[in-house]
Amino acid sequence: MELQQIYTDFQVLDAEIFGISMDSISETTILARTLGLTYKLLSDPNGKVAKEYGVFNLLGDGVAAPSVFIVGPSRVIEWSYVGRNIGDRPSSEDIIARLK
Amino acid sequence: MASQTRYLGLILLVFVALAGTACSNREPLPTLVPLSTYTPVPTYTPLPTYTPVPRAIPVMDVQKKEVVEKIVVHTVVHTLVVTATSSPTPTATLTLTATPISIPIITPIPTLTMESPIPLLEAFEARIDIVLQVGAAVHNVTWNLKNNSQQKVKVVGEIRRANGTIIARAESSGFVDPNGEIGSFSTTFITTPTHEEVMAFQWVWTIQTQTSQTIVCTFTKANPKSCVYTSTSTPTPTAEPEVKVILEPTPVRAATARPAPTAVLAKGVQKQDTLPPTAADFELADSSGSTVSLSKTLSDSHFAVLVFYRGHF
Repeated sequence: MELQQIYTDFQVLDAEIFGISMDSISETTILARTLGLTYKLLSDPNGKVAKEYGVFNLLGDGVAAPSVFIVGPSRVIEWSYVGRNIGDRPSSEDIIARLK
Repeated sequence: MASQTRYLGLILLVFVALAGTACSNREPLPTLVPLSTYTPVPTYTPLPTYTPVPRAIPVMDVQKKEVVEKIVVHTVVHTLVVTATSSPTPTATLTLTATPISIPIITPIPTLTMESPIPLLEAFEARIDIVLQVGAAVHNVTWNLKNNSQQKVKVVGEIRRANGTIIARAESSGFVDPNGEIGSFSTTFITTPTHEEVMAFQWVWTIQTQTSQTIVCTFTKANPKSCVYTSTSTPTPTAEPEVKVILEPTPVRAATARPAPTAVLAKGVQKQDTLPPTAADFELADSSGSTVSLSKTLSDSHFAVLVFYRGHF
């Protein structure tokens, strides 16, 4: 929700947000519709992408750890943050600051 | 040649003689009887033209049958009248009479009731509602506590997992009035539990009464009433007028499976230096039904922000 509120700020910075979870596509669709999200939620049910980014099962619960990656042109990872627990995540303002 | 001719003539003569003998032995033919005079067949008279007989169309006859089942209850009073007489042969007369007796309707008489106070241990009632559930994953619940006692109380509420881990905590700032209600708290789960897990969650309310009694009520969604007295000290409510809900994350397990590049993380935002410089490309289905490619996105936008989340932001 927080990201949604400042989604336009990301767009101004020419950044596209992708929320990635291991939920099924139907659950992702319902969540996006329920929360009225306009940015894209991606379904990674097998955790393939989470594994490629090294965040799968870091908290020992079989899903991706909360984490953020800013990927720039040529797919260069400009910045990333991996949470140490389920509530540890950067704020949207922090992410915006990294984009500037 | 002449002898042959004579010989043939002789044979012919014998044959003629034999034939004459045979003809003389045959039965005489029957006398011809003249046929009777021909009687002509009577003249053909054509049958009268067939006129179909009008046929009545059968009409389906539906018989309506009403079955009225009536149960008549008769109260039969058997009266046995025994008459003793002085006659030598006493007789007993049995008289049966059937007298329907109407059963009087019992109308409850309103009684004056005095409202007795609810025992303190039974005076607290919790309510837990699942507000948002996607599939089996529960994202949000609301919960509250109703004080049906005649006392003002101070309360602290917690949501605990079955293993005792605290998920959320709420605290009343002041007193909850008699017949008052505290809540409704809204808790959004960061790690979404399943519906089954939520059903096993415990809502533990520590209640301090004006009479300095401390009650701990442990509720589940299925069991909204279960309170006991306890001697444990109660948390002191804050002076703030609002009720606070504090989310407490689940303790993190040791990151044994953590890969080397992300093994060391400081509190707060950290610049990532050790990750591979190039992000892995991917194609994933999105919530609108289309497929999203990272490389395609980066051809349209300067940055892609990948947020790995766990059911809810």
